[in-house]
Parts: sequence; C-alpha cells; structure tokens
Amino acid sequence: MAFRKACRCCVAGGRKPGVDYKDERALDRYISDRGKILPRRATGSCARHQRAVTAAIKRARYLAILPYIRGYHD
Amino acid sequence: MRDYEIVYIFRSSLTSEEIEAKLERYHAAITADGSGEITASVHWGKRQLAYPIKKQPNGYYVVAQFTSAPDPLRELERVLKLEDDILRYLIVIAEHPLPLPDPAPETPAEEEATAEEPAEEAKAEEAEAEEPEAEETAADAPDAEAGSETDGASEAEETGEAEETEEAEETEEAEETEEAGETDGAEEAADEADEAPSEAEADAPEAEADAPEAEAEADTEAEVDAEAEAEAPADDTEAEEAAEAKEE
Repeated sequence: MAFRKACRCCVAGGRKPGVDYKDERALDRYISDRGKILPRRATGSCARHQRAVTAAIKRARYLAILPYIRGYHD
Repeated sequence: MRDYEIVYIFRSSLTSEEIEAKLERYHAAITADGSGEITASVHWGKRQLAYPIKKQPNGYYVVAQFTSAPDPLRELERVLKLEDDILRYLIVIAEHPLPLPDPAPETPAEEEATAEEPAEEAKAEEAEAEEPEAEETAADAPDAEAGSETDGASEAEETGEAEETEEAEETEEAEETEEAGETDGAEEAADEADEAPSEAEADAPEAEADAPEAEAEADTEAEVDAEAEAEAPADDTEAEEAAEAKEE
C-alpha cells in the first residue's frame, strides 16, 4: 500500500493559498524541463493546491515570468 | 471594496521618472473619488522576459496593491489598454501580502553581461581543455587502428594463402596418393585436412600438422609445399599473439 506524499503547500500553510504567481523559484518546482505543468502524481499536491499552482503558473506565463515552452527556441 | 493587485510590465527603454509619472496617472483613477487606496507598491526593475513581448526581450516590472470599488477598476483598465508603453499588465484579487519573495531583478543588462562572460570563458576553457585530449586520442587512435589493421590484413593474407596452398596440396595429394595406390592413412589424413579449414581456423594448424606426415609418405613435392604450409600457420599464430599483446 503506497501512501501519497504530503502536499507541500498544505505542510507549509494548511488551507492558505499556495504558491504565489510572482514567485518564480517556487513555481519552478511545478513545471517540467519543457515548461509544462507537472501532474499531481509528480508534484504530490493535494487537489486544492494543485488547482492553485496551475492558476499561478498560468498567470506567471502571461506575465513572462515563466515561459510557455522551455528549451524549444534555444 | 476589495483588495487588488496589479503587475505592470513597462518597456524597459523608459526612464524611471517616466514610469513614476505614468504610475501616478493610473493610480489617480483609483484614488480619484477618495474610495480607493494604493496600499503597496514595489518596483522589481528591469527583468528579462521569459519570451519576447512586442519584440522586447526585457521589461520593467512594477507590482502594486490597492483597494478599489469595481467602477474605478474599469476606468483603470480602459486607460491601461490605450497605453503603448505597457507591454502587459495583470489585475487580480490580492492573495499574498506584497513585500513578497521578491524575484530579485535577476538579469539586469549589466549583471547579465558580467555573469555570462565568465561562463562563456569557462566554456571556452573547457573546450580548449577538451580539444588537446581529443587530439591526443585521435593521434593515438590512428596508430592503434593502423596497427590492428595491418595485423588483421597480414593475418587474413596469411590465413588466406595458407588455406589456398593447403587446398591445392590436398587435391594434389589426394590425386597422387590415388595414383600411387598407397595406404588409406594418407587419404584419411587428407580428408581430415580437408575438414579442418571449414571447421575452424584454430584447428587448422593441427590438421596441417597431420597433413605433412601424410604428404611425407606421398610425395617430395608435397613435402616442400607442406613445409611452406607449416610455416604459414606458424606466422599466423605469431601474428595473432602479437595482435593480442597489442590489444592488451
């Protein structure tokens, strides 16, 4: 029986909002080397915080803090 | 009244005075009727964009938090949309207090330049460091290859010759023994010798070693050939040994 790892955001702050969309370094943990949003099975996030992470990444992309695609144009 | 947060990305070609003037004008739309209030404002400064916006590689980021009623917000957005010097803006409901993990202006032009140069130098050094090695290995390789090739070639030639002579002798031998009407032993030896090359090269010398005996009984001419044949395999094994030694 495999147990799910504790959600990083929950461990840090319970139900409080998770990652800030302006925090590039924190968001970097949730994207692949191609800039794709990692699935919950990879991040270990709970459903609530995974949704928050996803929204934050999309905001960060819009503001050119994160790339939409990484490693394609380089 | 809600707490909002706005992120501006200005053209990085603007001066800080120009940006301040613009910010003041925008924020006036919020604070004009006295209801709204700017609660915090942080300049991230010039930052490299993750992708070009309006062909610009860099942008000047400003983050501000404010409280506002819905109507002034609409007016603010209308103004911002008309502005050409704003590459992009985002207004969202504030979730995090502002003095945030400030993504420190990671790549201002000067830092960028200084940061990249050493890296490039380091790479160049690495490349240089690698090149001699590559040359060395390349220099080594031809020798090794040449050695192995010549060995292989000589081996192949020797074995080839040996086999050819062998076959020729055997056929001669067989004919001669038949003609001479001598013992079956010679024929058997010849048969063994026939089989040997096809079985394996390693066995060949032994079979050849047997063959000369049969030939000794058979013919003197065959003997001469047999000697040549015996020598050839000997060279062969020597060459192989030498090759193995080199490989080691």
